[in-house]
Amino acid sequence: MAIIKGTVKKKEYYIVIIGCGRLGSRIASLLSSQGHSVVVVDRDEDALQALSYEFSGFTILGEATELDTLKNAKLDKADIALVLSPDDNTNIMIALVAKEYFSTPRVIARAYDPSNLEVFSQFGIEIICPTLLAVESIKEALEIAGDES
Amino acid sequence: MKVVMVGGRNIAYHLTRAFLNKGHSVIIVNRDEAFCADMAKKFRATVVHGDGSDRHVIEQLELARDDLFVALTMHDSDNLVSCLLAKQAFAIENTAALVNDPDNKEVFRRMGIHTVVSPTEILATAIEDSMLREEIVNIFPTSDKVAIFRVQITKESPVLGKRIREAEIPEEGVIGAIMRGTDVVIPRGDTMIEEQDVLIVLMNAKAQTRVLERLIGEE
Repeated sequence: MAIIKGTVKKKEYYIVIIGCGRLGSRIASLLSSQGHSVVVVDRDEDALQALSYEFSGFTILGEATELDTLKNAKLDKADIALVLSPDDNTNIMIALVAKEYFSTPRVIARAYDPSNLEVFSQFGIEIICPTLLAVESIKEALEIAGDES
Repeated sequence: MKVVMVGGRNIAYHLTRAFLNKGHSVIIVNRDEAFCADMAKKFRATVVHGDGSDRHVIEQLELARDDLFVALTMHDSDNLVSCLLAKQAFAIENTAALVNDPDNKEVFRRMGIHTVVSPTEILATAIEDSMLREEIVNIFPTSDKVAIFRVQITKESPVLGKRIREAEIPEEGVIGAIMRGTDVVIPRGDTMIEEQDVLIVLMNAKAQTRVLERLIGEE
C-alpha cells in the first residue's frame, strides 16, 4: 500500500475528492484500487456514474460549495481533501473551508491560473497548477535548460 | 476614503451613486466591458475592466489599509478570493462581501472578512416579519440572541392604562423608550402606558412571543 507523504502514516486514508471530471475520476479509481476509503462529490449525476468499475468508494451528489454537502461527505473525518472542480476560485474557497472549517490535515486544490498561487499557499493549502506542470513538461521535452541550471 | 466595488451590476450602480454623493472616491472593477463603459459615462468614478479575483488586477488598484473593499459578484467563491487578495495585498481591514449562500457567512467571517451580507437571509427575515401582526415591527433583525421591536399600543392591549411596574412584562423583556406623539419618554416604573404609544422593546429573542403577547394581547 502506498504511503502518502506529509500525513500521519496510516495504511488506509479517508480521502474526499471534490469534482469528478477527468482528473477526479481517475484519481478516485486509483486511490480506491489501492485500498483507501474514497468519497467523491460532484453536482453532476452523470459524472458520478461514469466512475470506473475499479472504484469501490462512495459518491455524493451535491454542490460542494455548500457546507451541508461537505458535512455529508464527512470532511471533518478526512485525512486528505482533493479539490478538483473546473473553477479555480471555487476550488480555493472549498479548500479554505476544508482547512479552516473542517480542519482537514492535507488539502490539495487544482488551479489553472498561476497568478493566485503564492497568495493561497500561505493559507496552508497546496495548489497544483496544471499550467505550470505543462510548462515544465514541455520544457523538458524540448530540453530547454532552466535559469537555475 | 476610497471604496472599491468588485462585480455586481445593479447593486454596484446604486452603491456607486450613494458613495459618490457622500464624497468618497469610488473604484469599480467589473468583468463586463459594456457595463464598465456605461459606468464610466455616468459617474466620476475610476472604472477598471478586469477580473477582480485576479491578483494582478487587485494589485494595480493602489489602495491603503483604511480603504473599503466590497465584493458583490454572484459567486461566493469569487467574492471570497477577491477580499482575501485585497487583504493580502494592502492589509485592508474593511473588506465586505456579499454571500448568496447564507451558510457561507460563517466561513467568510472565519477567513477574516469584516462585513458579510447575505441578501437571501435578509429577504427571509423580511418575509418572516411581513407575517408578523401589523402593530409590531422588528427593528433590529440582525441577531438571533436579542430582538428589538417597535410595538404600537392599541385598545386591545392588556397593558393599556397600566403603570410599567404593574404591567407584568416578562423578565426577558424591557421597554427602552416610549414614543408618545412627538415626545420621547424614557419609562420608569410609574410611567403609564397610553393608547397610541409606540414602545421600543428589547428582549431575549427566545422569549419574543411571550413578551409581545403580553404587550399587544393574544391573537
